[in-house]
Amino acid sequence: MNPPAQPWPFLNGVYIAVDAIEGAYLIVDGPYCTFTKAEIQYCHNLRCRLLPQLGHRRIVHTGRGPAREEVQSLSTDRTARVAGIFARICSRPDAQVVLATSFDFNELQGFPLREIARRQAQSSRVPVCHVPSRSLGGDWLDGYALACEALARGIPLESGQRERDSVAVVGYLQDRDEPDHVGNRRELRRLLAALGLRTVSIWLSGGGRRELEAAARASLIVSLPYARKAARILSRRLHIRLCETELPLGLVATERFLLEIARSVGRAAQAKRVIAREGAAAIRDTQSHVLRFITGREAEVKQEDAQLQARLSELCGELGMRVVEPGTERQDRCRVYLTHTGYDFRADAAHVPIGYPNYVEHPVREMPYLGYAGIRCLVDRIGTALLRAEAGSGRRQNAAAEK
Amino acid sequence: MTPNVSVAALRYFADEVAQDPGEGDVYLSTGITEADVLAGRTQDLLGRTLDRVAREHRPVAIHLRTTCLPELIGDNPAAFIKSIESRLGIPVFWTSKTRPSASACEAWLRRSLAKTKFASRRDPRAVLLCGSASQAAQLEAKELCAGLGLRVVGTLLPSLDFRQVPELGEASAVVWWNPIGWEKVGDAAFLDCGFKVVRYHPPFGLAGTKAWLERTASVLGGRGADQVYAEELAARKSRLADIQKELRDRTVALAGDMTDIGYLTSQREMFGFSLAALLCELGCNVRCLVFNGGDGARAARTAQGAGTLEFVPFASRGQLDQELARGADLVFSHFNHDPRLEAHGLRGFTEKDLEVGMDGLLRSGKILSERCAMRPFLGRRGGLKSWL
Repeated sequence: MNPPAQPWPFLNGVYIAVDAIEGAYLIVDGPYCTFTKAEIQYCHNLRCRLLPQLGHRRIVHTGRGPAREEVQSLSTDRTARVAGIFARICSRPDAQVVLATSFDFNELQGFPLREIARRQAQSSRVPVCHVPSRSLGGDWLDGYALACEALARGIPLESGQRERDSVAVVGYLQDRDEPDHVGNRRELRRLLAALGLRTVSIWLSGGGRRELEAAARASLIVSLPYARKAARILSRRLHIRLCETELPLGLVATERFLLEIARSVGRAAQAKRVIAREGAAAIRDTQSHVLRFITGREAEVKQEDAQLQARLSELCGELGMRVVEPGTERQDRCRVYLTHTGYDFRADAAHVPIGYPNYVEHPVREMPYLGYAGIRCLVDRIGTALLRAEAGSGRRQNAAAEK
Repeated sequence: MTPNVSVAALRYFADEVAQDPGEGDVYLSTGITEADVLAGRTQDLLGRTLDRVAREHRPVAIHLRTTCLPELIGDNPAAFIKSIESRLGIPVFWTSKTRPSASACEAWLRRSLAKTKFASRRDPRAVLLCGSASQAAQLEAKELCAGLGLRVVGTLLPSLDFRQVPELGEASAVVWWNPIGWEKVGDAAFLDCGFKVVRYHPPFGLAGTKAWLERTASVLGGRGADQVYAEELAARKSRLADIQKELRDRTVALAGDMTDIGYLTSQREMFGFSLAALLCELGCNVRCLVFNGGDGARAARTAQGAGTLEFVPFASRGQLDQELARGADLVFSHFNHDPRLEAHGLRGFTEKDLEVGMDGLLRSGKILSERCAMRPFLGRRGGLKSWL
């Protein structure tokens, strides 16, 4: 089988965003197979809320049904019917926010979805946010970013609620509601607290409209890479300072994260003390693993997410690993693969599944990959994967020798 | 794009069939972008991709699947298909997202049959088997056919590879083993080539297998179906008794409204067999939970087959939950992880867990028995999350 070369589609990213907001609905101008695409998220996130087996589905399509007549039905005037769907969804008691976007061929048709959403927003108690479709040109990261951008424009926010030393983190990629992200969010809050900052809102984090609206209480917006424009829009709307940072993954990136934020609030000295203390502790906790069986190894990082690609590669360098291009000939018997598992899982290699989608790991306990806690977890996982692969490889060699 | 190609346990639906390409298959996508659409080059892109596949991989056949988008904008691959077939001799099987695939399948059958060299005197005992996906199913079907004095020359559908049936030209009949799912593919292509066709209810369970044997024998003649059935049953009697013993104290719940229960307890078109009757053959206690059935839907437990059958109405979520807690061991559900079942540590099953034939019945019984037995948190299920 040849793995598909295309990145995961735009709509997947919108689904991830919807799944990361409690009480969110998404109306997709498209056919019934919008559901089957949502099943990808269901496989990635054990707590996926998009298609509950009981109750209302969060993904709603405008197609007439599971018939093969979409091409024909698109030629009719669907405006009133689609407007009716918006009204029905907005009237659901559990609806906190409604997003709307289009399938690829519906987008081409130029259907006035934005206008229908705008009209509905005027008459509804629920914010209705239109996400411009990039189904034919964008990937899942664009989908996530544009969904956040639509929320940043469409969520009602009152300025003037600012609280001292409070932070809203905007552009966190909450791709699933599992303990890896619980751990990440806890670590982000902990790092910010170490600088004397209180996190009042994380976009997105699994919270509902209240969590989104809490951004108005922040005195600083920390912008992470997955929704830069949304952070800028919020900063402008709320007249709040903005600090754009990278993902704090790895020792150096975590230091940069802390220093950049600290500088923007005038606490650089405090950040340096935190870095000295926390960095040294993380190194002490991981040094046996790193020095005994990680340093000197080959690492292959393959992510569709450029930020994760860069940060993981940087981390591998920090651990003394040699980062190699995907597909190059192996010099090391046990190369470490830091890849997502959408198309492939290397059961016979040191594979550390990370990124979207991840079908093969669903942790029960917190497994962050950000900050100092994340470094410990990643070292643990890389080390375990390496030792298991090496033990398996040794057994295979023995078995071959016996033959 | 398939939702998930590798991890069955994570799938949303329990009856979802994996769509992994076979070994050696090459999968390519045109990867149309907005720029391609706006520039009007999607059809050229398809033509180039088809040509590249044909030239670089030299496949024995190409399955072209077109989706809604190229069809909406009016792309038509017919000319490319014609060109590849005539220039390179590679057949292209084209299925479309917006049109029924049955006609494509029928057309493929017709063209493949047209290329088949039929013997001047075809063997009246030689048959082509259709609708048997697994090797185990094919094995048993061949055995039963042999019992009737029939010789299976090969199997087609789901496979469309006629190279696997070199003796097809000698066959004079087509026998469908499990025709469920193939209803829209007609038999006209076979009939037009002089085949007799036996297409009946699938042979699920003992009664289903007996009926299938009788029907096949009545159309094609040969040894008495009763005798074949008795011999085949005798060969499996002790294994069947073991399974029935394992399942004797197990309660399998079928829940739904009157219409659902009607389908699950009769031989109507949904599965082509009665699920309740099959479970009773396996020795299960079948408890049908009928939503909004009222007292009229209540029927006390009665013996059926080797098991029992009862009907219990329910009118609310709470009542359903109580019924699931009242000794059910297994529940029919198409959700891979049904919160109503998980609240009681129950496991589900679907018709996809059941196999045709007598050996299939034994394998199905074993699977169901294990699912009944292997439930987590024994004695501590009160700690499980409620769905109410």
